[in-house]
Amino acid sequence: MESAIMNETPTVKVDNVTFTYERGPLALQEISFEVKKGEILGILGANGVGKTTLCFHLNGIIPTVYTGVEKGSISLCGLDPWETPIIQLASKASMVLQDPESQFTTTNVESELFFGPANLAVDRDEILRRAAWAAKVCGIDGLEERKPKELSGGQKQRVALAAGLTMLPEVLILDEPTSQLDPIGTTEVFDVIKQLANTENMTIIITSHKTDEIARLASKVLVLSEGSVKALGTPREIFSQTELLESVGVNPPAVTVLAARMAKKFPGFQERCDRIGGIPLTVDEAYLLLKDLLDEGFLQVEWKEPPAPPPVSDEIMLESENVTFVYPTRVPVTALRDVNLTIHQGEIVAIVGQNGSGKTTLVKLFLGLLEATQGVTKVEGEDVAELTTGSIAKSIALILQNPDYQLFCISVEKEIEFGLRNLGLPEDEIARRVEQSLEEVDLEVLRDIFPFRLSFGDRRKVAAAAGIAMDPEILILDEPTTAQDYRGRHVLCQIATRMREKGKTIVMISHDMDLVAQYADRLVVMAEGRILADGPKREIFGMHEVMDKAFMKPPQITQLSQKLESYGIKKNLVTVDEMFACFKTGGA
Amino acid sequence: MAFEYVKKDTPLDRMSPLVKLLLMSLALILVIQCTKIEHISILLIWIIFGSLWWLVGKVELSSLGFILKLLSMLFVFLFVVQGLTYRFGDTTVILQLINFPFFDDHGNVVVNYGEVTVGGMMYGLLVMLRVIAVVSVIPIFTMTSPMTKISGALTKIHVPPKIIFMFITAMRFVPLVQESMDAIIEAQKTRGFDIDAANMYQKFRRAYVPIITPLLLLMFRRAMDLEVAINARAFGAREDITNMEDLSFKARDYLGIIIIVGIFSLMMYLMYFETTSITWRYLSIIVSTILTVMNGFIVTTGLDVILQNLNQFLLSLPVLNWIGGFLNQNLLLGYGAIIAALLIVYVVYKLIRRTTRKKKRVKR
Repeated sequence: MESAIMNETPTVKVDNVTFTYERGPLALQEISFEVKKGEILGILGANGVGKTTLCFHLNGIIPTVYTGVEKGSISLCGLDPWETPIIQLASKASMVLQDPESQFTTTNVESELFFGPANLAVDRDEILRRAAWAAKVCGIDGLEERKPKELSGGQKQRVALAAGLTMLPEVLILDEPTSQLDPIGTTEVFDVIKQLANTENMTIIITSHKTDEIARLASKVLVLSEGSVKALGTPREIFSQTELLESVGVNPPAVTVLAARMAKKFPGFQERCDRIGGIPLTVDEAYLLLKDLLDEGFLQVEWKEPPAPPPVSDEIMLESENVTFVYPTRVPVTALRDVNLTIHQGEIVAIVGQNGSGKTTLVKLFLGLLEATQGVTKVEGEDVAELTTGSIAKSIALILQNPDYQLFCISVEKEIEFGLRNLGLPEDEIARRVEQSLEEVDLEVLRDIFPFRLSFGDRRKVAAAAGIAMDPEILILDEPTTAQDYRGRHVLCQIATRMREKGKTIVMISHDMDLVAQYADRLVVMAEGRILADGPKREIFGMHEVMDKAFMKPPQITQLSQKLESYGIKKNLVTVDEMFACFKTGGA
Repeated sequence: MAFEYVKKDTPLDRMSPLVKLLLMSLALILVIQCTKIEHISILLIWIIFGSLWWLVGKVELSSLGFILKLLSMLFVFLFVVQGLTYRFGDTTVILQLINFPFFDDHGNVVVNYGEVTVGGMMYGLLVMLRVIAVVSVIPIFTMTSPMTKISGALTKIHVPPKIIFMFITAMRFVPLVQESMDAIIEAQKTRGFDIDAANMYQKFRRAYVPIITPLLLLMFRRAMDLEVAINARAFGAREDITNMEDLSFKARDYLGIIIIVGIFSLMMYLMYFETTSITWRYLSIIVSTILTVMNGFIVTTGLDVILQNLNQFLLSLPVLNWIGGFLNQNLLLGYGAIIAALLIVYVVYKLIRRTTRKKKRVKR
């Protein structure tokens, strides 16, 4: 009975909200939407369109922590966030922030889970019960005693989610809750979210760039662009508008893009989609649709060989021979075990694997930041152990996950000059290289701006420009996708691809399979400090055992191509283009 | 971090942090009262007592070593300053560094601040022991008490939650700053900025800017995020927050208090009511016995003659006679050149180690 009443009054109602930050730009413009109890609302949009601002509105961070000028009204479980003290709201709405590092308020996992409910003076036994439940649901049971620094990024993110759950809120607001998780971990967390909505009747509002997961789970999707609502509807309604989404910097699931393109090319395809309830959003839906169409003879497969990766030269750029590395901490941690890897000039190699599998450690060895406990690492044939880090920096540039670790100058230009001055180059050469790298990343207009005032995406570009300016032979991208939107994650990779065309060698560390599939030629899969597999990407994606062990999941298109193997898809395809090219109308 | 809590199943681990807090505060009260050279004996007893806690708590000795290493420069400074300025107790001059006399109206020398005296050195020792007596109990508190218990205990004695949170945040931020700093140094190294290769002057002049600036900016941002995070989790909603730790006093806690208070009372008794300074007398007897035995050993084996001859020989060497001659005065007479030689050997050893450290070469 109660739920019937609740279904009529929405749990969250945002009515015509416009918001401007104090001394800042217009952040939100005439936003209106409703979320009912037990629903999942997915908020999509490029970086900087106001997703986080919108989340801050719902749990009272605005106006308590950040202030500004507000119009319109918000109601959350019958409360007005602008009138209710934040601490009262906190028991109704709990928010999990983007950066798992900075929201760790206490010194270990257990106390982190206790923190919220203890503040609300919940009974001790009840808190213990909730903490145990939340830890189990989020898959962090057994880690209770760990300190934040003993957790991987993905584990911290799970802790943050669990800490939000112990508040037992009616509304759970999640801002990018899976940005640092591997593909399997992401799916697990989204399954937890789905389960919470279904069994606990929690209302969930989630922002994410992982559209295939949103498509799978959300009951409603809201698309934001420049602070205003571009579209609002069911996932199928929203994702069928692939062109609109791409214009606002959101990528629909790959299979949806494929279907949309096929609907344009093959008359009658759209009707077939409508007959099964709309455009396919998941691999299974797409497979069933295509299978029917192929069986009927509506479509035919005409195998087109995907482009082969460009030939690789014999020159070895990076090499590790039987490398073992042990972190000399109080309890020594073996991060790499007997790693053998050779990277040739002109390759784009992606090192993939779960957090803590040793990817970053391996890269640090090449950079000379760490010294191998056993074995030899070589850069361009020279033993790293004998070289100064300063001189290795001439050969290898590293573009970090978090640009804030390196930006410190008062202007973008000065920032790029810093590394060049460290190399001791003459002034005219410095000026020339600054110009060139600014052009490369398309930041010429922002050259005099203080880097900290730029958006996260632009800060990363500055860091990239600073790396490119060093004119390295090898470019290493560390997690180029973290906290990046659809466009942002491609920008860095496109820069890398252009560098490769100039004969440079690219190494990227990532667990974004779509990106890896699109840009890399070769995959190196790591788990627990070992290399599990190393080879051309299409072959690796076919090794199910290896993928499972490394908590990886092939991209949607690859999964689809594996399912369609019996219809004549001979190899693992990785991009929509490749797949699209293989279909033609049947009957002819 | 040298002072972080590591779970070990020791009685100290299970003891209430309040007991350890009591130990810390009593240590502080004790050293404030130790102002006379005779109190060296009392401080030594306290330090021995403190090290027993270390044994019970299985705290790593390396962390004490870490503290002492940090403080070593301070200790040297204390010895020199006190040696030169403290003018009570035994005024025997060990070494006259410079001649810096003060005269009274009649032109008589009242005091010479260029002289290091035995009394001054002993006072330096006293100050050093005072520092050690307090510092050595800090790891007992921090390394055997988890943060959750500390905050629970503070809540129990009605410290306001906001102050406790400030304390916890500080503890949380220390490793965070350390980690961020390491990450920043690594990031700047990959840009050809080699802080390890820079010399002292370069480091001071410009090297720290690329590290400190991003660190500060990053920490400001973190602090802002933390404010959002604690607000989102109802921090400060109520005064009576739930205490998750069981902090009721157990038998071992009472035992701990009895031992601590007992030892402290004993110290107080020795300081104020035991007028014959019995501990100081015993310490003097022990030290002088050791010295007599050593002296006897040296004389009977004829080592003193050998050393004296060695000293004379060193004094005749061209460079050594200059430094050795200077040190060869007052109490050091007869051994000054040996000390000078040892000093020189030490400095040379340090220099050699610095230059022979594996030099990395520049690529290509």
